[in-house]
Amino acid sequence: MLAFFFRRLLGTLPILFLITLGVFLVMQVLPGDPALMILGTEATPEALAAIRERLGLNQPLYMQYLTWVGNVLTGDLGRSMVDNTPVASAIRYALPVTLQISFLAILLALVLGVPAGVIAATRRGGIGDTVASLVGFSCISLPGFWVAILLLYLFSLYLGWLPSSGFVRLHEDWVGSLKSSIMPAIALGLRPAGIFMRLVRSSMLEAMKSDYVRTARAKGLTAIAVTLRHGLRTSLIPLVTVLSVEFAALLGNVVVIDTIFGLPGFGRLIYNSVLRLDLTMMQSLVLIFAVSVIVINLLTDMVYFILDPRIKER
Amino acid sequence: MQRLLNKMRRKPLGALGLLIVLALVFVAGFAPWLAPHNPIQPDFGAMLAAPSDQYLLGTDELGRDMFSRLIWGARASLQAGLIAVILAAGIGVPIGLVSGYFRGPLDEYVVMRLTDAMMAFPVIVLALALTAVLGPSLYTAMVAIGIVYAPIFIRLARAQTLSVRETEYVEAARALGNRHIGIMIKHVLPNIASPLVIQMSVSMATAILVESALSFLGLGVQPPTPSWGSMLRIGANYMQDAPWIAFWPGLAIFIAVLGINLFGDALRDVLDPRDR
Repeated sequence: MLAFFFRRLLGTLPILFLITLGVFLVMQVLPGDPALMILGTEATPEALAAIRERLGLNQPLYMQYLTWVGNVLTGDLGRSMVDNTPVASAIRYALPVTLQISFLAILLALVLGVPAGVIAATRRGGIGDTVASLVGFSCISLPGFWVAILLLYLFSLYLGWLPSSGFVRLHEDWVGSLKSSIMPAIALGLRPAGIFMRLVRSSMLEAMKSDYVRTARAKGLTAIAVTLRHGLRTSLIPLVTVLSVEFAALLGNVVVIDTIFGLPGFGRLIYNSVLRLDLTMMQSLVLIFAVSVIVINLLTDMVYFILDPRIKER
Repeated sequence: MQRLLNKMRRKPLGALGLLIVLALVFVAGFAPWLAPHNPIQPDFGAMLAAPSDQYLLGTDELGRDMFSRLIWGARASLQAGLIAVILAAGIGVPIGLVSGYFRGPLDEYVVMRLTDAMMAFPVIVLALALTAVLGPSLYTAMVAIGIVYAPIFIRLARAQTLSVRETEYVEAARALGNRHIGIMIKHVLPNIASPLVIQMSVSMATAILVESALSFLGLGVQPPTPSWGSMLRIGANYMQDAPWIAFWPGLAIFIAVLGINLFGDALRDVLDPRDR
């Protein structure tokens, strides 16, 4: 188990190298001079030179890259170019918001999607299956930001049940926290719910045709036991794969959802940094998004290993 | 034809998808003739007007006809989806095909690791960064989505090529002394085309969603050009006074994406013999 884990970890190193290099190069081609951006156009040439010196902008590119990677590795993400706050503390502030909302969204997607998939599979070909398919496809096709706006209209403006913007932290008031994160979680979770539903349906249909399910039926197990123990179980591995892919996609969609609900999460940080061309902030955030995805993939591999130990042979 | 009709009866959702896709193409193609008003002509006497006989779906904050803007918006969305996907497949398929055909260290250590790295960036985040580099426009959004989706096609084309290159007909073509490039185009490509076409339809649906999200953030189609995403952006600001501004463009995106998804699923049934 440990050996497998370390081999996987080692395998991510070249990917991490490419990611940092990619992020760094993209930031280099961005228009605009950071020194000018910090001081404004009326700065004296001496002041500009001084700040270039301080930011290390007068060094050769590879030195700048190495310095940046070195700093990131020691936990120093630099300071925002716009308001000079440390990037690391901005991220620490935003992280719990995004984590809470995305976990709630995935949880919601699993709770809605998996049972719906099981039900659709057991009613294969009937009108119930067609309706379930349509619902599944609808979930996949709904633009999250539209769902968000409709939810806001219904629950905040019309009914007045839920707050229309802002975020209450979990340790301050957990009911309020749940209230402020339920609509964002629904808007984020519908798409993965639809995808989970379709996946569970198709992999269960596959499993129900197999010999071991026929054997289980012949043994006289009840329909429900066969469905759950033998049908659903085989769909777990593809489900884990899709779960990791969807989690990554969800992290991206946070950008839109944060903007609509006024959440102080990762999405808002990155959106603001793009609008204000805050290079250090953008650089670190894009990197963190990518590293989170790598970590999720690594965890996925671990889960595969636990679900199916044959995988280590590969 | 008879078979097709039979198939459609058994697959009502696929038929629905086909219908939506055809309608979408028709509306986008004939937008100038279908729209009752000029989509970018303000009417300051009728700002935020509720739906009426003159303005079927109401007007936006500048008094522009929502219905006409919706019709024109189909163009931006369809164009963005099509061009992004063609770009993604145009970059991805040749790379994946050549990489999978020759294999070797370049395939294993460069192409595969590069796609790994690219796929680690969430689509919207990478598109956002690219937009920051290239400046916001519909063109940028299309290019960004095309680049972001290219690794999917590299992976798929490579995986398919790996299985096809071992088949007897490819071996036979090689034994006959055909050139590699000829074998790839004449023998490999046609045999890996089906999954690629299916992937294109799936990707096009999500590309339209991503483009509308970017336009919603103000990073895609720029005003006054009508697009569903940017109409929603405006609508979000006028929810209290004029909720229809946000309602219709969202519905249009939903129906368009649903149609393409359903169509793609039906395509899978027709093209992929394994699931038949």
